[in-house]
Amino acid sequence: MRAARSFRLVFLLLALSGAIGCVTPPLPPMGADRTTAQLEPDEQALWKESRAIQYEIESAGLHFDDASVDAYLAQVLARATPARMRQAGLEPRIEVISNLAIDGYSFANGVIYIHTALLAQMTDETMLATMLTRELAHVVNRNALRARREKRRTADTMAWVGVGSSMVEGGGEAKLLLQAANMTSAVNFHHTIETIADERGLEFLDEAGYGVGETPKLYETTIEYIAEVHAQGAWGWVPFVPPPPVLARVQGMKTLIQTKYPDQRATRPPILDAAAFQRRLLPVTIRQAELELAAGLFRSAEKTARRATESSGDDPEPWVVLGRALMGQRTKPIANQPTPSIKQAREAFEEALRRDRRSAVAVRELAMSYYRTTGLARARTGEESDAALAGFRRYLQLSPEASDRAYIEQYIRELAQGER
Amino acid sequence: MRSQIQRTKAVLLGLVLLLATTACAPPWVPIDQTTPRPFDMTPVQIKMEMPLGWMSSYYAPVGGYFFFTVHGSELEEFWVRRFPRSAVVKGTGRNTGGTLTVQEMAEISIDSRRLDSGTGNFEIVSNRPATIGGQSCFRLEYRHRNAIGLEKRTLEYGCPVGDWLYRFEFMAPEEHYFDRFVGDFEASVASVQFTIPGI
Repeated sequence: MRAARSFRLVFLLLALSGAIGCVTPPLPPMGADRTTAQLEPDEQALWKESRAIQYEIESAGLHFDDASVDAYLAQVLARATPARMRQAGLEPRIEVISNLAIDGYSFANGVIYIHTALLAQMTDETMLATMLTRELAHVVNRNALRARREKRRTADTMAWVGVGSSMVEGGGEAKLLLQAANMTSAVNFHHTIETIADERGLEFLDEAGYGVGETPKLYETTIEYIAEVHAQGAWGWVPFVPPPPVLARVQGMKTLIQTKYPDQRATRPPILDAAAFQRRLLPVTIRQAELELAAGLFRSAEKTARRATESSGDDPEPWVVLGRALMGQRTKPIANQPTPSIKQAREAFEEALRRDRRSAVAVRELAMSYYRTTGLARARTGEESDAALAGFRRYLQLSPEASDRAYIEQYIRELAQGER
Repeated sequence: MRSQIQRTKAVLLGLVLLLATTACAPPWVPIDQTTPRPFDMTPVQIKMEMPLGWMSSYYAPVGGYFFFTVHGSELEEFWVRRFPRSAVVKGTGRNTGGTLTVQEMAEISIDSRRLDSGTGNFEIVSNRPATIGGQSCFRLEYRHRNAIGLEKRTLEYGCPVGDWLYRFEFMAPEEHYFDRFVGDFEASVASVQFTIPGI
């Protein structure tokens, strides 16, 4: 009897200590009554560390810099920034990081990092504003400081976080980004903190005049992308299961929208419509497709490149990337997926040449499609050799200083010998 | 009997301490006049001339590759490694098997480096074909910054030989060290003889 009572007491104590350990009281949020002039000593240290790591990341060349993209992102951020942040003296800033991991996070000092992988998945400005307002909520709520105090620095800080995850396969260890993750909203916050940030983020989004109803789309798109990447990896045969906490958050968000914003007041139009949004982010989309090509994620590269072709106008580059993604799938077929034909790949290069007949890279890739002996056909026909030879010669005419000239000259010699 | 057990325990303890204090590092062997020429790297089936004054080390337990340096790994890294062509190249999701051209293999190597976020400001200096030991290879030269922002330069040769991709790599800080020691590396690589039967 006494033993049972002792057990209950110990159990209660454990449960209580666990609960206290998991949920620490929130910090007073940044605003007119708590400004940047009132940072606490450890908060000042965190800001200093944040600035140092941001400088290192910039020096290491991890930023994706494009003046037009940067200007537009700054515009959206300015609209999404709530008045209370300005009252607090915070000056948020956004930087794009060339990275395959689908992720976005913020530092205590209001600097937001968004990876090309996440930005390239967005189809309209509201998705971007959703991500930004959510990160701004983390900044206002001082969650990075809170996490620092809880000493929740774990090795898996790049795991399911924020609006994305780093589950994308491929890519090397990002020491700097991992350091950054340790002091940003990429820390694996407690579910309660994330839910509060979701709620406040929606408030900011609503204040900024964006439609709140579509916000879960960003999270759903992220999950779809991760599933797509998973299918192309070594474990692609294992069915993809989205992590339950993420699904729970999406569901929680939907419930929040239904209850808090059943009939949202009239929204203001975004700065750019969906088509213009895609056009403005074209350099990011192309960079992401190139990263996917490099990582051997040819199916994703195809999808990303196709999206880029929709808004590229006369730019041949996305068509070249598309052709390379299709060629890549021929060298690395994906289980249960149709392998693109060589004709489809060549059509993409020809489409690039229709936009710019002097595109040296399109000429070279088309020639390579005839030269390569990978795929089902292991030998070149006479016509293919001729097409390859003519293409390589034209390539060197168009680009006499090409960095791969020595390789191309080797191919030309080989093909010319075969001709004799 | 008891003293014998104690002696055995002491020997075991000594071994453990030795391994722990050396962090399982392989022994360093200076390359001098007594070093057999050409330097026989039987585990990776090649022979090559090595520059005098360098130090060699063979990491057999962790992958069977050779490492050479003069002043330490921060200043000169000269690696000799080989990988099965069927193995996926780090980060790229692809291997170098099948009927890839050496240019395509070089591009996979470039992709692997470019995707490694630890290597910022990645810039290709040159990429061209080369012949080593009678085999068609690629010769790739690039610059990058390491995790602490130091500008480094790398010269890499990749040679598909049979089922293996051989990689000869020299990496050093761009300033002073690269130019000073790259000649030694080039001379060594030029002397490579592949000893794989049947090639």
